Amino acid sequence: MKNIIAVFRKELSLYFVSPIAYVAIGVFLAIMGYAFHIILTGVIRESFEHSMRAAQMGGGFSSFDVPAIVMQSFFGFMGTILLFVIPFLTMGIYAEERKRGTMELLMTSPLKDSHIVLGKFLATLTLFLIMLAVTFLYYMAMYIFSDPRPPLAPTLAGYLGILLFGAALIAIGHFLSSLTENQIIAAVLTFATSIMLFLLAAGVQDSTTAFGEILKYLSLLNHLGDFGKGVIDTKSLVLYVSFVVLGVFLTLRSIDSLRWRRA
Amino acid sequence: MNKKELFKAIGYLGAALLISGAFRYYAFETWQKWEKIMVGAGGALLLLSLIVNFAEIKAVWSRRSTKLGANTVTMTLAVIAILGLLNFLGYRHSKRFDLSEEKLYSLSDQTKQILSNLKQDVKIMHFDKQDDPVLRERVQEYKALSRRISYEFVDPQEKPDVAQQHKITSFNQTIVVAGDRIERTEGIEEQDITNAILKATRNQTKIVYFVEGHQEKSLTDSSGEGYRAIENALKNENYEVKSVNLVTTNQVPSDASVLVVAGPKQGLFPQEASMIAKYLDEGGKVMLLVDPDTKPQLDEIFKKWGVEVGDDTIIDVSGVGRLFGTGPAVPMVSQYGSHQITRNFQGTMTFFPLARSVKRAADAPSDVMITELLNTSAQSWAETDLTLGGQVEFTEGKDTKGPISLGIVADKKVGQKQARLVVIGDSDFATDRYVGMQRNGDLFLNSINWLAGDEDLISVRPKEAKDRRVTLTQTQQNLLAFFNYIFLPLLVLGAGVSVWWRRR
Repeated sequence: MKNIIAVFRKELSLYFVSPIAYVAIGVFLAIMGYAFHIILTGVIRESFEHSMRAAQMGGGFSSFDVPAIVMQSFFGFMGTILLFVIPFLTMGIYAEERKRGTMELLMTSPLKDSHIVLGKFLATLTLFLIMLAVTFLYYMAMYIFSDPRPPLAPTLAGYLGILLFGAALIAIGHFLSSLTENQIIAAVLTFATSIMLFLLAAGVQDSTTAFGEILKYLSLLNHLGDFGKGVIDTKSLVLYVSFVVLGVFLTLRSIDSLRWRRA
Repeated sequence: MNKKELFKAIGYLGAALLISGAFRYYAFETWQKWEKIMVGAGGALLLLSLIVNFAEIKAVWSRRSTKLGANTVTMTLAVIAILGLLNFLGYRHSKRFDLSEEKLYSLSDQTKQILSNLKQDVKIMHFDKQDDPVLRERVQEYKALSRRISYEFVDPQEKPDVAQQHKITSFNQTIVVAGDRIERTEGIEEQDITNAILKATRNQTKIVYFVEGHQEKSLTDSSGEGYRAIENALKNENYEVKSVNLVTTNQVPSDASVLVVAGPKQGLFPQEASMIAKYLDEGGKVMLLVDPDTKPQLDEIFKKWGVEVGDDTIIDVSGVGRLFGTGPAVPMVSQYGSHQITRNFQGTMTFFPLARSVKRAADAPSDVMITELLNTSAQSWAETDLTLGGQVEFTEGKDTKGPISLGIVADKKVGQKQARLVVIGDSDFATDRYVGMQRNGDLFLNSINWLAGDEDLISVRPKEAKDRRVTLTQTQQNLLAFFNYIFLPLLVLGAGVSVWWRRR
């Protein structure tokens, strides 16, 4: 545990002195902030139109939950954006070490492989959490201007979904980063994987075959919809955690193979 | 970055493209532009990298590390297999927790009960130009509760054969298919879907009896005055349709789900009327369609049920009928009582060629629930002396001013059962000639569905999200916008720049 924390602290402080993390987070926040604003104003306009229509049809009053609709769209969009932001956070985590030759130092230190892998994973995850925490400010702002106040639980469920989704992507990104000495290659590989996930999500919506069902299930993005609505489905939890476990396991194998690959 | 590394990466990229292209091909079951591009480009890139790195690949096979590599591969496959199994189990036995305040995404206990008792596979199908996201999401909840449920969206223009096979005649229709039975749903709320599932999986067929022997509307008459279209529609809705002569059977058949008396021109015998009354008293379901200028001799039943059938003919001078090629003797109805039968009729019309008024009697018994279902417009009246060739006009004091009620529904609790009665002052609206006009056919079928409706059908109020509005002045909007997508990102970038500056 102590070892894991040591690795974790070192990695996190490295993030905070590397320009790439600042740029990635800055761009992420700029996009998300803008998106939130567009979604919010759009849904507010929609809610007006909805009221007008209801008045015209004489159908009486029907309700419109602005914050819920905003958060649903927001989480869906955030998932898509993360596919393109997370590779920037994970690409250098092993590739840089290997390039600078510090990987050998790490491997000959008394640290176990699992300590290194978990420490690094937690470091990226923490950075990701900080990013997410900032976007929570948007929700808080909307909360203040909402009448009546929206409940917190569905939004927290949405964040849980995004967090697990991000964790799965980070685990995959770490594995791909450990395969190569080149940051760019690591990033490209992670992008390719992300795009594949994205295509899967888009491609299998209307499929009714058993194979289509499996792909629909495997597509990480497809599960975000439930979380965004405030529904937590255990099968989504199992899937995301499985991806994290698989990513971490593959990273371990990959690090291990460095010992004998050159033999 | 050397050549080898570059081509290695290209190889990986190619493999990824190839795999995702193949996935797409399997999922879509089409071989279109995108699949071709992905598979073609992926294969080419992979091949290219293999050729460039051929020497290296050859060398790999003759190394001792290959053995260790094989070890790793085996371990990895084992882990993937274990995870696959876990996911399979997780998928099969998933639970959902609905954190929304109004429990918007939770189905009622009745639905859960029905789904857990399903003995056969049920497919929910939606036919339209585009899929309905609300329905799709709702079906997801059903699927989460039962593996027997599946969903398919079909564009009838793309797959006319499938549409025909399921007797789909218009867009935006949702049906529930169980085995060879098809149930149409009224709407896509939970109670619609659940009730359709109930009906489709029920193994008994309901029988609708049409009384004959008094020149009623016939099921075999093809002149346009018969009920052939109605008979077909009922069969499509899984009903069995039979005729019955009460004089010979001496009672209402015991297997009747609904008894229909459709516009008798001669009166029924007193014992026939008593049979029907008795059947109702035992919790029967009856539909009575009585035309003007006929004396069906059913007064015993009308009195008992608090129904008043007027001795008149409704005249409608609103002129709406002209759009549909009908005259003032065909009153148009667009005001409906709030009842399951006319649940989604608001804003649509029904037409009744030569109709008489049917309303709730002033001295109706208190144990009968009566709803006036059909009301004509204010530009109509109930004419009491309609002479052929004479002038028709509203006479103050003799005629009743519109809106006039021309149909009622009534129900009464009889012990454990519910007796149900529909009375409409016209039988022509459902003949082959008029059944296709606006909602005429729907009115007849919905009435039969409600009459035949079982006590086990559920009724759940559709869940509504709470009304929450966000109000922002333009200034507040601008402030928020500035804070969200200018101030915060700049803060982060600024921090980055300052760190970089200090380290330099």
